[in-house]
This record gives sequence, C-alpha cells and structure tokens, in this order.
Amino acid sequence: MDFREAAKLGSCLSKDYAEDLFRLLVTYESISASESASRLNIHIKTTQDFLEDLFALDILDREEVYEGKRPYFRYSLKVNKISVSVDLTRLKVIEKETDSRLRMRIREMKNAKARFTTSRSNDYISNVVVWMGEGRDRTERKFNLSIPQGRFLFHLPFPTAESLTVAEIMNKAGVENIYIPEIVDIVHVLLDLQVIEST
Amino acid sequence: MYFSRRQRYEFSITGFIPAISCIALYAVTLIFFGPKVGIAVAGAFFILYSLFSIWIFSRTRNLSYIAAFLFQFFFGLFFLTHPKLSFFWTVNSRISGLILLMCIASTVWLFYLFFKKKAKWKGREVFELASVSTDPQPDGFTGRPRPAGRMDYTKDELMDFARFLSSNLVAMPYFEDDRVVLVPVKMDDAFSYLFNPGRFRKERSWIAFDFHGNVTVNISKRDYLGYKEEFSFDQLCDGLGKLFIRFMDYYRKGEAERIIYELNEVGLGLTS
Repeated sequence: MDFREAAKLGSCLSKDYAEDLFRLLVTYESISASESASRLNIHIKTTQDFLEDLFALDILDREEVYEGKRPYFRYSLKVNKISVSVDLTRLKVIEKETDSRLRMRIREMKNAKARFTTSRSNDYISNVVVWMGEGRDRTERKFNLSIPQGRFLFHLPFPTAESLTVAEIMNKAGVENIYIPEIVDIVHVLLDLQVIEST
Repeated sequence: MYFSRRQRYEFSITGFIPAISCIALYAVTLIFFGPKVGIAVAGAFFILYSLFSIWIFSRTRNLSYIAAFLFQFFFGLFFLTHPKLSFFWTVNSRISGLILLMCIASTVWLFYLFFKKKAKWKGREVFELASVSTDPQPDGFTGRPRPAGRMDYTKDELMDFARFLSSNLVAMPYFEDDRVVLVPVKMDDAFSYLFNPGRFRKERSWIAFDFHGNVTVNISKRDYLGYKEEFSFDQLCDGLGKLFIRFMDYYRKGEAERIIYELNEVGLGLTS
C-alpha cells in the first residue's frame, strides 16, 4: 500500500459512521448505498462515497444490479481483515553525490527578506525566518533547522561572494553525505522563497 | 603607508560632555554664589569624575584612565584645599604646592599618553584596515555571521590576547562559555559601550575566537553603513577576520607592538 492509499483508508476508518457501516457490510451478503443510508440514517451521497472509496481500495466488491429502469450497485466485503502497511523508506528521496542538485551553485540572495538566527554555540544557524508579502499582508514563516542544515547554512556564501556548489558548502561545513537529502530539501525550500539564489 | 579614508567622519560631542558640564557648572555657581563656591563646585566635579575614570580603568585596564584619574583627582583636591581658593577646608601652602606638582606631573603623563594615541579607542582604525582590499559592490549586506577561518592557539593565549586588545582600546572582550567575542569600539561609541555593554554587543560588529580555533566574524548594519561606499560585504567580513587572525598571530609571536603600530599607521586623528 502506498502512502496515498493508506491516507485514504485512514480517512475512511476515521469517519463516525465507519464502524456501523462495516457492521452492516459484515452482516449483509450484499448491500446497496440506499439501503445502508436508510439503515444508518445518514445521507445517501455520504454512504455512496464511502462505499466507492472502499471499492477503490479493493476492500469491497460491487455488482451492478438492474431493478426497473435504473441500475445500481450492491456492495459486498471482499476481505475479512484490513491491515495498513506503509513502507516509509520509499518516501526518502535518494540522491547520489553526483546528483545535479549537488552541483548546483548557490549563495544567499541580495536583500533576501530573511533573518538567520545563530545557535547558542554560534557555529550553526538554528532557524531562518522568512518574511512574505508586503505591508499589512506581510507574514513570516520560521524554519527550525536540523543541525546539519544549520551548519550548511552557516557556510552559505554571502550575497556578494562567489557562489559555491552544494557539495562544496557541505564539505566546508563538514556535513556528511548521509545528510544530503535534508540539505537538498532546505536548499529547495529557500530557493523557492528567494532566500538563496542559484547561479 | 597612505590610507584613503573609507569611513564617514562622524563628529560626536559625547567625549566633551564632562568638560562642557564642568565649565557650565562653574560658570553658573560663579555668577550666583561667587568665585569660591564656583571653584569648590568645579573641584567636587573633578573628584567625582576621577571616580568615573577609575571605573573605566577597571573595565579596560587602559593606563590613560589611571593618568586621567590622577589628573582629575589632584586638580579637584587642589581646588578644594588651596588656602586662597577654598573656603571650608584648607591645607598649608607646602602641601598645596605638592598637590600642584602632582597635578602638573599627571597632566604631563596624560598628555603624553593622549598624543601617543594610548587613550584612543581604535575601532575606527580597525574598520579602516578591514576595508583596505575590498571592492565596491552594492546590496551585499546580510546579518549572518561568517566563518573567517581557523588557527591554533591555547585558551590562555586567547585570554591574554583579549586583555591586550582591551587595555589598548582596540576591541572590548566578552568572555563566553566556549569563546571570546571581541567588539571594536570607536571613539564616539565609547560611552555607549561603557554604559550598556550588553546592548552594545548585540548592535555592533564582532570577531569571535572559540576555544577550538574557529574564528567567526559579524559586521553590523550600523558599522557597514559607516563606510562611504557600499563595499563587498563578503570581502569586508573576510578582511576583518583576517585582520584579527593576523593580530592574534603577532601576539603569539610576541610582536604585539606591531598591532598597535599597524593601527596607528592608519593615521586617523586623535579624537576621531
């Protein structure tokens, strides 16, 4: 199960009426959306969506039935147990040292609307506050940094300095390669917010 | 060596406030209460100001403040005790003559230190030297500190170096848990430092030497705007870092006098 499916299933299971609906599905051989909605006293559209989601997740089976002029679906349970298993390691963006993002040359942008705060030990940046918008609409976003990210940004070239590659800055800051994904992540966030620039 | 001035000249009357106050106080009391009361008030002012000088000495360990203390104290004492000037407590004329001799001796010493630039806060010279090899480049300012390099020194050497800079009014040290932060103080900034060192530290440029040999530099916006031109901020930070690394190197080699020589070579005036 990928993360998106797990999220969808989680959302279904968290509904107030989920347990009652599953009880109906276990009890009945097959049941339509209208029957379950009337039985649980909830809106038919709500029931229809719920059952369709479970069908999409391969938990229910459905059969099209013709009764009079309008066809409708009857749903039956396909499984007796539901288990959620998500491989979180698949979320990690794997970067190689030779990745183009490591060769990207960056430096702080001129007049960046950001404030860098140093840590107590003063050898890394502990957070970056970025101001967005103008005048009364101005808001600020604070990014608390991991220590490798903070050490990386501590060595980020100044706006008028010659830009360096991400790999060179990591080397200067003594940041190990296992932290590449989180470094690349913060670089991209700050690039998007125009705190740093790529040259 | 010729240095073109790269900082704006800022005339501040802060340093003259005590002298102006003393003259004003003397004039007012002279007009309303006569010359003897005027002299007594001026004498009391001198004595009080001598306590301020000794307090500055305790903070900086700079000899010129001892000279200033002696100068102010003996002049105050002379005014308050001279048989012809004082009206409430006098000493005989021989002791008064001895006090006058001390006045003259301390004045000579104070003037000697003043003209040898020993009494000069040298922050402005520091920023001039830091900008020597920088190119104009706009929009470079950032509030981030910059790693300036690494060097080898012991903790004791660092502490002694910091005290040396303090006693020569080059940069005032702030001793932290794992590093020493040096803040250059300009002549017109001396009172700001003396009366509110905590706030001064936050708002001014600094150079930090940690106990592992890392040197970090931060130039404040205020000091950056003190330059006539917008210099490459990166080069400026680099210049300041290298300057202090060089100073530390001189100090470790036992050539501390070269630091003072280099700063005096900039050739700024005695009060700027």
